[in-house]
Amino acid sequence: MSRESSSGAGVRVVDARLHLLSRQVLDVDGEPVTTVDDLELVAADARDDDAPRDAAPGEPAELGAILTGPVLVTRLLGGRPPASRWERVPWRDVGHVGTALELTVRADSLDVHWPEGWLREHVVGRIPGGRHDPEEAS
Amino acid sequence: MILGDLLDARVRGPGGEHLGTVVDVRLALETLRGDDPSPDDPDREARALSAQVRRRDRVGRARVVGILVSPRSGAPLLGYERTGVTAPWPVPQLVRRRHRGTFLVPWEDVAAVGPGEVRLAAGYRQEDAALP
Repeated sequence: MSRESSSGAGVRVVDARLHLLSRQVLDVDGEPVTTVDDLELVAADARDDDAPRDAAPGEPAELGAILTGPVLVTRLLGGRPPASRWERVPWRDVGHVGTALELTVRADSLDVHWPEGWLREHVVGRIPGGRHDPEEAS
Repeated sequence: MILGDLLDARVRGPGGEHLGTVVDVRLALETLRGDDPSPDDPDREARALSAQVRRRDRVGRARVVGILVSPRSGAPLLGYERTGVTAPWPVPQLVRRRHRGTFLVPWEDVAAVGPGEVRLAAGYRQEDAALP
């Protein structure tokens, strides 16, 4: 499913704030993953195997990743979360842009839910009965 | 650079004059024809869940076209000034009036991006902000 397998069929012009920011992100099975809190811009000439270079003003640039993070506080009080707190979803994993952004990968393969996974392993899993489905007939 | 660095930044011309505020960033999404799984694909059934995504055009790279600059207001645009939508009256009319004069500056004409400020290159172009 690489981008190179299909030829370009056209160009669709969108505005970031109007069509992308705050939109929901769904994984390949339609499960909600996160929302688009911000977008990362990288230099457009970087090859897929190179580390993406930060976008420079005036030079060709493109979207590198969807960023999601703890933006509630910064939206209320201003500023932005430090770079280390952003979770990235590479733009190459985006399959379709509509009312929501649909990914071509499963949510499990992304790091955006690591706090949930950590809590499941270290907290919920230690509670008696926390390791099986309560709906399941035992 | 992240998009949040650009949005709501003050825009200054080559001589330092105030031109407005960045209200949005325009992107060109490359659309690719949806590649249907071939009939002899052994994992065809397993891929059925993703069929919905595959049927429609996929998006490829998203190139930055330019920044939209509003000379009057940094308030959200709601998109009215870029489309022909007129309802619900009088919201589009008021938003258009607040954002009249909004223009698109091609990304090539952006000279520098600093904290809360964008500086344009000499001879920058002002293009129509309407979405095609």
